[in-house]
Amino acid sequence: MSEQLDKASVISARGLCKQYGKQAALDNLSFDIAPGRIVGLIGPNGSGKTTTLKAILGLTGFEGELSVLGRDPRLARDALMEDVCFIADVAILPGWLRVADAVDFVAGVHPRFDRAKAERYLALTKLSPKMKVKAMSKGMVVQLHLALVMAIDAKLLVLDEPTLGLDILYRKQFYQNLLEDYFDENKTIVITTHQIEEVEHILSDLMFIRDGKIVLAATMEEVGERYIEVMVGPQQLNAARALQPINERSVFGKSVMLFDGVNRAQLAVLGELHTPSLADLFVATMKGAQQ
Amino acid sequence: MSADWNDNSPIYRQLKAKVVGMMLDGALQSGDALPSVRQVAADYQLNPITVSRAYQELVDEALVEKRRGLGMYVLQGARDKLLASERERFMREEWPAMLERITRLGLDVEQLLLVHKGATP
Amino acid sequence: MSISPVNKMKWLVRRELWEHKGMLLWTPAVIGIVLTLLGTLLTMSTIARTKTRTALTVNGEEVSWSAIFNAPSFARQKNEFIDAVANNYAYLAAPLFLALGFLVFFYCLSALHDDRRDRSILFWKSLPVSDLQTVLSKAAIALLVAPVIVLAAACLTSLALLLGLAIVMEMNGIQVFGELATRPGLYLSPLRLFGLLPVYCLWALPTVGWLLMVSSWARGKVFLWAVGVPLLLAVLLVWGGELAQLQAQANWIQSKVIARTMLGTLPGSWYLFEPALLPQLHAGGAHMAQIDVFGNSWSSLGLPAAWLGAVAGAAMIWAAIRLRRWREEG
Repeated sequence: MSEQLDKASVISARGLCKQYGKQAALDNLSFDIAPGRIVGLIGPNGSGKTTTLKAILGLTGFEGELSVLGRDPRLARDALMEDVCFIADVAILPGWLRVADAVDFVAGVHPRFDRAKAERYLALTKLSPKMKVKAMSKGMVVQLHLALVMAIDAKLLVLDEPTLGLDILYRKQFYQNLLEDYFDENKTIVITTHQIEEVEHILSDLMFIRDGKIVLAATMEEVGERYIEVMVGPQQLNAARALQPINERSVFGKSVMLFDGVNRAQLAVLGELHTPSLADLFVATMKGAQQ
Repeated sequence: MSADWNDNSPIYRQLKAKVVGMMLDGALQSGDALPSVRQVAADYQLNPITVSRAYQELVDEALVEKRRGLGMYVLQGARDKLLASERERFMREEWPAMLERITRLGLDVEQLLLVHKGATP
Repeated sequence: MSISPVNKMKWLVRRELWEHKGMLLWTPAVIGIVLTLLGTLLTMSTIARTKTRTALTVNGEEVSWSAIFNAPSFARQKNEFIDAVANNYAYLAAPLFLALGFLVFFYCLSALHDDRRDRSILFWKSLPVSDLQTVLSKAAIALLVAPVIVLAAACLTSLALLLGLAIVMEMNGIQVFGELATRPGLYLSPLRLFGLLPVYCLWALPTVGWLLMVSSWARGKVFLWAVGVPLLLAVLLVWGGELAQLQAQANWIQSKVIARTMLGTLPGSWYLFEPALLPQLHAGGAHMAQIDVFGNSWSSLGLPAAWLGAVAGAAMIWAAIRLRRWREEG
């Protein structure tokens, strides 16, 4: 990674630092996010992922350099918000807001809002124009919020735990709508979530973050090629361990080892090869970062 | 629609296998349109890049073609081509492995066939 | 395609009205209606009671109030009475003005705090509306929209009350309708009332600024911070003033600074802060008819204190904008 911000990236960060008291929420963070990607920013609580998102959205100050769609969020936030949209946590719409008023308001203030689109989405839900948010279930509030967001032609969409606490039906529908109607090669999406399994196949890029540092940043293709899980038979244990697995766990008495960047052919003789699930990869990397 | 993706091979390859399966079964005939990348991505909750990759391999193997502005279409003779390559693979890999297994279990191939013929009218 | 700031402000103000419909629209309306009903009932019962009492006994004959009123010799007093009524009937709706003081106060307290408490600020911040516009829209509600709504309600209420009074008097033989209708004061009073709006804005600025600033800063218990801090200061001042024998200075700070921070939203507060204005009120004559609240209030703009306070209020609004931009939530 070069020292300079990458102008071609949708988001380019170099040396982001942020302290909350003695705690470093962001510790010299650097990364690039290319256009047309769906990036998962995954990390445990307190890892700095929310702070990173806040920095990108100009909701918090920081040290270092950050460019979002060519702008510094600290200086040009108002202009930035015309091209960036975000859903920060579920159900943050105010209780007194009516569906029709919400649509009117966004139409009145957002130049890239397509009212007809929003009304089309709303027609597919059980939401009526006069309904107030406080009379809606969590899932319905998300439907309203999503209807508004999807009708905005934003270049960058940031989703912070967008399906937290929603039941499975709404969760599946959320991503279905996003992929079917919203996403295209001109848009970029950044998602943080605890539900790794849910987004595993939707992501094109991955960033693991812990203690304010990026522990892993790769495309899903690279991940597929780099990380290999092997179910090692008891005879091969020593040979396998000699190749320095980054993680070892036990499943049904058999040893499952995770290797990073080891030749596939070499591993094939040790046992069955699998692609690790993102969740297992995450746990393994986090444990590794701890040591 | 939720598919069960196994962890033995990349998703795009499994998706490609699914499409191939549909072509072999006749669910997708020559000249049929494949569902759009966007639709498949949404229905199976996959990244569009993954779907594109699967489709691209199908194009590379001359099984489907991309028609500008219209989408992906199954090529003429795709099924035959597939049958040929699947048969070849069967003869090369699966059949010998099957024979080995039958022998290992101590069974007789001709006996099995007679039983099979007898059982099915 | 871009959206003009004026359009955005329009929507922001509309949003405030949606959120605070009860406080800004229904409350003045209800108070107005209650005042009208109550006032009319009271008038009817009062007149009914006085009617049954005789006013005078002249040469053994009992003379009713209506006779006195209509007597030619009473004409001058009658004129003055009708003049006074025509010029000042707008103040019949005084409780509404008092209510305005409270409404604006509590509106400002919650204006920049409520959406931080329920986190809906994260929704508003996801839209291309600047913090400057947001805070200014709330200041506009506090200083312009809410007072205009209350003024309109006051005019309607006082007109209704006046009509009620006139009708009741007519029913009892006292003719006032015709006379009232010819008085220019009848039509000028509502205009003068609205004309006091800029004066109100100026004197309310320090309070609105303080409250908006606290509203954007406090993480909770906004009322406590907004009221408690000045009160604490006042107590300390009294105590310190006594100790240091500087009571006069302490009093000055109290009345000029603390009181103005707390009480500016009350209409007519300038009379509280600058009692010197009051004698001028009566300088024009001892008669009620000639009280010139309008001109007198506008003269308060000549006081430097008015402008200093306004500047301080504007500075606090600017601080509120900065806090809105940079304060970290949760």
